[in-house]
Amino acid sequence: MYELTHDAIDVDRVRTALQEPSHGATLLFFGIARDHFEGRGVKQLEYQAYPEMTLPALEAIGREASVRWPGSQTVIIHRLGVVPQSALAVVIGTSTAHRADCYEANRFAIEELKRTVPIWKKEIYVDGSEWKANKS
Amino acid sequence: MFEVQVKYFAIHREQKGCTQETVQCALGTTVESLYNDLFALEVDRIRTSFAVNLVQVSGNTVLNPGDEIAFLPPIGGG
Repeated sequence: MYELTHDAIDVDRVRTALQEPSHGATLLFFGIARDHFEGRGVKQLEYQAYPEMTLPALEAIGREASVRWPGSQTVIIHRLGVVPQSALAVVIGTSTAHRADCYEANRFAIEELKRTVPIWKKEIYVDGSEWKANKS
Repeated sequence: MFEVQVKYFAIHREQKGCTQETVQCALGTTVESLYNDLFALEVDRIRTSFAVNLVQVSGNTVLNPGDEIAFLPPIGGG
């Protein structure tokens, strides 16, 4: 399941989508809108995407994870538009048969998302705003 | 001359004041030369990747009638 949404992310849906009787491990990564960046107060975030490219890029991450960790399942939901402070910006759910693969596959998914997926983030400060680039 | 559709995101969207527009191109126009034309007046140029018809391409890709072009500023998801 790969989705972009302008609404609050429903974590229960992510967990439900990952239910698999043969899987003994599930991890949910929450990317959260924090209240600061390098000493500046952040009021909220604002995300944009190019859905026709963004969704296939999310799906590609899940496909690659299932190759590297056979049998693994991946769910990625990224919020768009205004994301208030402390709200979920992205949720990445992973399930595998055993925990070691689960940790690795989940970490892989968030790192790949930050490296490859066309999504843009603006930080809205108390005293201005800035479009932010992920560290490459 | 022919028409292409251009999509803007993030800082580009703010600089252009629109999400997309139809642009006239001359035969042989590359995606990078189109970018340079459209942002010629911007002092604050940023590192930009290019996509044509949903596929990331190099700047020397020659455009065709009806192409959908996207200028992709540095990404920041997650």
